[in-house]
Amino acid sequence: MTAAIHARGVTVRVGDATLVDRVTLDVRHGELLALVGPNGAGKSTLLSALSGERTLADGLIELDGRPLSAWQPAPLARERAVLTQDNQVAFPFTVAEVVAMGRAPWRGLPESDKDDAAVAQSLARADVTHLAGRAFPSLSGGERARVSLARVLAQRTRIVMLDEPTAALDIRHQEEVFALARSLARAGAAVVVVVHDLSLAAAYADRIAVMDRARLAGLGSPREVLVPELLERVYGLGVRVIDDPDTGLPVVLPRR
Amino acid sequence: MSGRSRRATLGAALAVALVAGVVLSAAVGQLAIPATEVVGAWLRGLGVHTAWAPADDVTTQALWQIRFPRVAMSVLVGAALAVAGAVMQAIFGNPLAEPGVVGVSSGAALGAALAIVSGAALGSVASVAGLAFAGGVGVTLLVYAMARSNGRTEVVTLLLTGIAVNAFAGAGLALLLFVGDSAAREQIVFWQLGSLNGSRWNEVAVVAVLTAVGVAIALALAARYDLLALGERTAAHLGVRVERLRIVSILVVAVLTGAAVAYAGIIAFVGLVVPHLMRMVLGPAHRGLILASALGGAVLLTYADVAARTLISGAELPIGLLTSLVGGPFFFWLLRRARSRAGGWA
Repeated sequence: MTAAIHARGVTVRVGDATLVDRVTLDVRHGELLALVGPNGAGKSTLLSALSGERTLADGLIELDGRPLSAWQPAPLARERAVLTQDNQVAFPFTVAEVVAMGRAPWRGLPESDKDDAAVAQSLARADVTHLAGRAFPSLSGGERARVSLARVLAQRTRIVMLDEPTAALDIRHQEEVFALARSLARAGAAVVVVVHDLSLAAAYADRIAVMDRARLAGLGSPREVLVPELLERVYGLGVRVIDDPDTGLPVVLPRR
Repeated sequence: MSGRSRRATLGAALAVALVAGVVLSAAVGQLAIPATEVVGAWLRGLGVHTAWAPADDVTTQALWQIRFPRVAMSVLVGAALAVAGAVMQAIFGNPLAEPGVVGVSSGAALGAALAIVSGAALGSVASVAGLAFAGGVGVTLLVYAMARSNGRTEVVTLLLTGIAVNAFAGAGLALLLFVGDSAAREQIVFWQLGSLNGSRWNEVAVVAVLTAVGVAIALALAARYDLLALGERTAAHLGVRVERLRIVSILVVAVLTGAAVAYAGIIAFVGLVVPHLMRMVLGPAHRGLILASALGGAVLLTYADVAARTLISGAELPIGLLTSLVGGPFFFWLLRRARSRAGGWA
């Protein structure tokens, strides 16, 4: 089966700095991949490369077996949706309008009949239906993040890329967003999420990719990757990995 | 009120105001003409004879040769300036962007002054308009190129670029005033103050074509402007070719502003005030905003022209002076409001 995202030897340079260095990974449909690593390790840069936003210095990225360079902007927007960390809206659009913008790539196609349903469902899934009439700039950071997530959901793509969707969220909404990401994956989407919270990644991701100084330091199931030796080398901090008493999944704690 | 009915109400109100303003504008002046005769003369010009048609030919002549082209020009210039402002705000993602604020109008003034001072070589009216147009387009492209770095346009950079451009154009104008003779000086000064006086049908036709093209393109791009409000990256992820959209839009702004300024001179703040008011009523979605701005700009300038001609009896106020008198304080208010809001423009 063709991988949803296939990256081979992906290298991104800005000036003299190599931000992503020969990263190779596949993401399959139906899979949730968490991208973790210290600040500045190149997680967001790798994600933006996978989204088609950056020119590669070297390497190849394919979505559904087709090189990114062969995708036109509109069909690409119907195949993959991206949530960036930058949740700004220039004018006081309402939440409902912002989420409806996620339907733009489907304009003029039969799928646009489902616009209203898609918007309503996305608002509900991101738990922002009650904000539908509010102006986006009047929202709190966490509300903005969830509305932007709803916009991404409304796009209804088979590949979803989320850059730190939980950064501004309380723990309940963090759990809900990851549960949502996993349900997208279970429904057949390929989901890539950049996240800092290793325990959160362990609880929901099928696989975890650890970035360290522009390179891929580890790739595998949470159990395989979240081991003290690897994490201590990457983060430069002593950690303890224990098992969650309920789920048996790894929980990462710093040694204090 | 729902969005749809709000749009319909505003559209109807603006349309009524525009028709009333057009009739009023044609009726007032040194020779007062009853509104019924204005309508009658207009219908007769279209080949419909009614009892309202003016009895004497002088009135008809005055209306068709002096008043009607002037009214048409005020409608077109107002629409062009307001839509240019709305488009500029859309592509910079910033309600402070306006062709006048960033120096486009000064560029046009410089072009016009150059044509006026060079006199015999370039002195015909057509070349004043032509050079004003070229100056406006040139400065638009310059500001666009200078205010962007790494594919981003910072608000502060934009406004500072405007200051720099305005200062340079001001110096150029001063130089031209210095070298020009007294007739040229007077002409430059009055051109800068803006006037719709002496509009002719051939000029109206040029402005009409450019305005229609500009507004049509802006409307076609309206949905993409909405996406651009999400930021360049997200707009691109939603399938918008951002760079191409910006370039086409900047050309639209240049053409609309250039067309308006070429014959009417500097009429500032219309592009700032009108889209802002429309956004307050309709919300920021650009299709409605651009349409309403076109109508609203036409209404504003039609009434401004009536005011310019009637506020002082026996003399005509420059219309650009009027719009700046109203627009300047409005700009201050906008700045203060923005600053009091969390985050401001940064």
